[in-house]
Amino acid sequence: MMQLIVHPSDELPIYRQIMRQIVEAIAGGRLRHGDKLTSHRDLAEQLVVAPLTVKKAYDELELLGYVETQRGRGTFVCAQPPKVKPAEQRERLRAAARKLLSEAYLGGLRFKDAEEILREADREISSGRAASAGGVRREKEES
Amino acid sequence: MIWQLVRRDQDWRMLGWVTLGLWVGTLAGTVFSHPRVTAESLFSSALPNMLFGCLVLGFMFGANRRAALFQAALPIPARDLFVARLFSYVAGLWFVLLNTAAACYVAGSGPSIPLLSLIMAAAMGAVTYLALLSLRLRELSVPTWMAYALLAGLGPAGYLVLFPGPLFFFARPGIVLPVCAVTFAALLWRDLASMPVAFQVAPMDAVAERLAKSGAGLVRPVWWPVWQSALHGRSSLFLVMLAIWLAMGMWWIVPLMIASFVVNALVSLRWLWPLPVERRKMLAMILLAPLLLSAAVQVVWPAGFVRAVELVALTLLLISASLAMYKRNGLPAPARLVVQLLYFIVFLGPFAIVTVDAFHGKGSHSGIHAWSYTADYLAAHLAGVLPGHPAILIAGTLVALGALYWLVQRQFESADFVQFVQTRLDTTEYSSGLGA
Amino acid sequence: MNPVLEFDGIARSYKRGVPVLDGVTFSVEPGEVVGLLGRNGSGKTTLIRVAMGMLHPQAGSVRVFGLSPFESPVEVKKRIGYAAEDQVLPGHSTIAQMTAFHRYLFPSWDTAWERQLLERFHLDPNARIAKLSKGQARQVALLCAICHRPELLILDEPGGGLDPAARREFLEASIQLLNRAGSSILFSSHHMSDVERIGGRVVLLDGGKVFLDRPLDALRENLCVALVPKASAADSARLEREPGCLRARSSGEDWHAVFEGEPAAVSGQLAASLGANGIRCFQVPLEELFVELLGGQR
Repeated sequence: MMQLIVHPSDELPIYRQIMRQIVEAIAGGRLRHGDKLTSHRDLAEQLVVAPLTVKKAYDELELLGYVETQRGRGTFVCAQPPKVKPAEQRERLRAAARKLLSEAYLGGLRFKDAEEILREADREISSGRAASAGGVRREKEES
Repeated sequence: MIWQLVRRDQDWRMLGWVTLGLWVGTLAGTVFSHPRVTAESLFSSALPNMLFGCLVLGFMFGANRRAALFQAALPIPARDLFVARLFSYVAGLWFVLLNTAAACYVAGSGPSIPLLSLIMAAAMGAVTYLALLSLRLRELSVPTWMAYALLAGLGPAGYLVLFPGPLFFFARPGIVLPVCAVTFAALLWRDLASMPVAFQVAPMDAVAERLAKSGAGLVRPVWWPVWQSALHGRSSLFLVMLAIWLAMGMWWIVPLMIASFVVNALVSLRWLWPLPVERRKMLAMILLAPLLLSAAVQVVWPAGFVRAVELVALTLLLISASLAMYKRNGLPAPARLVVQLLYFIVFLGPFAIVTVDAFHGKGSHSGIHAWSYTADYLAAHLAGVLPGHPAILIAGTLVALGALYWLVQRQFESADFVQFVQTRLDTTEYSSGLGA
Repeated sequence: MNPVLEFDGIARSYKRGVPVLDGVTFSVEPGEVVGLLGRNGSGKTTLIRVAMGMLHPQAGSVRVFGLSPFESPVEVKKRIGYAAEDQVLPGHSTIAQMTAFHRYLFPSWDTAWERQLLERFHLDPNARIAKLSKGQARQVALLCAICHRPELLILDEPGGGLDPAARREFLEASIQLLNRAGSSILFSSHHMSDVERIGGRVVLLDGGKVFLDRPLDALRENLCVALVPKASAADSARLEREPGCLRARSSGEDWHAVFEGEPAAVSGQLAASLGANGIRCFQVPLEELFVELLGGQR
């Protein structure tokens, strides 16, 4: 269900890698609102990491508002996307944008090329959302 | 190159100790006895033991190994390794036996040493060893079972030659020596001719998978792995030697054999240390069987309850002493020194008594029988003091022995196993001998 | 909650004057996974043997489940599982005989799990242990250590000499134990990636003492390595005097120093204090932290 992978020697600690991948999955439409996340014990066995690490990732995501835990039933993706402080979000995006552009300029590309790349990424995300929505519709038709 | 290898051979360091033990044993046996036990009679009874001991010691320290693994990786021709090993061992053998002769000479019986017996023994030892090294001359070491088989076959044969009885005709030096010389030369020539360029680590032909069918049907008791482990490897060697020495009537070596067995079995059982098994059970399992069996044999043959009690007491004291040599938690340093001093007195006291007696022209026991002398003295004295019924005496002795066992058990329970067997663990790296 | 394992001022030396352990104090709480790290010879095996009651400390005390492993060895060992790199199971035994023996010693033995693990590892119960490969023998040792669902699992370099797949299987089995029994684990290892996977807390031994005792994530996120050009500081001691510096050492053309704090803040602080440019700071994985904190050339 959830295809995650972790690298122990990555820059981010394992729990942050799990958090980031879950957030990306939510953003990309692979995990939709109301979906149940794999239990932290099962995910721990799947990824071969400590169960407490997975639990920590889930707890942090809950604090940020991405998921919510219902006692006895499991952890679910929140119906509402979390309210991120706009100023924080702009700052994070500004840093990411700086990184993207400096890498592009280093490679000899220009601003126009970076713009084109952004448009392509936008298309991919939208089609991804549509595909998973379509997939669910097709499942509903077949069942 | 051969000389370089011989010089570096590990087993020379044991040679010093063996030789020292030889001199001390011979001198102690003869000098402190009155009337003087002749070195000749001592020699002829000691000789087969020494020969056997040399061979066995050799196995323990890897004589069945033609070269160490790290030597096999160096640019040394196999022939050099082979000759160096052969030379080391045979030279060591002759060194030990010549020292024995010298010790007996010094101990005062003069030139009437049966030198020819000695040379025959050395010659046979050399041929045996060469025969062993010649088996399957392709691999780094001779398979252990082959070594056992050869020992089992040639040992008794050698003994019969030296103490022939009905085979007297064949035991003359005139026959044995030339036969040994010719055999040695023939084997050596054949080996040098068919020497491989380098030794292999494993046999060429893959061994067929011997299925452990034996395990499948049998219902074995749950404690089976423990006994199997205790008896496999080095420790069983001490049991074999124990049996041989008992059979020869030299019971005073038995305590040392049992104590060595216990230490070696403990090393083999180190997988058991982290498991929830009480230490007293462990001790009972490895100590009681050999101890009680030896005592039973002693009572029946050669002679008497007193000797059996002496054997058990000495064994327990020896184990207790070796446990006490290491710092016990809670025992402050002065108390530890007192305990060690006490053991010193117990083990060497009887020698002192006998020496003093001999000096004064009294007593008729050789130094080796010092403890028997002490035991007999104590027994006679006690029988005089306590009410005469032998049953009470026996019961009292058993209670005393039980108390001694309890002491050993207490020490065992609080002993530092890792430190206690540390020296044994270290030597397993050097020798490939008969299972580590 | 009482800790399952408590060391208090443990000291032990083998040769006079050369302390291997010199006052080690830390504890393991129920459900924790603690990684014991240190260079070869830093006393990890010694400490683990003290916990198992196999070695007396010369000073200090150890309590396991509140009991002393020297006074109540059998009670303590019934609740512990132990597997070590140098712990050799008897070769002439078959696997079935070993597990039967363990089943007898540990009343809480889980036979179903044993069968499951034997299948997963492709082990034949009638095989003799001496005929197994090193990895398989270790798997048997691990099986014997975990199938009775111990409250505390002690592993002394479980992955030593094993191939990555075998190490991964080891970890999987350990995580299964954590899930089923909520056990605590104390393990020493040189494979930092394994420590990063299952370690919750890390204890670093250096010089016979506990140098660092922190949750792993805090270690990764709150420590950074600063690369300082050689010219900016006369010697490593100058760097070590900076507030927040844990260790500094020479490496190639730079000084490498481990600091507490965010990389940006630390590089700012150093630039101001040393008056130097070209200082870069990074957060690094555990293996790099290990090398920077315990490596040579200081």
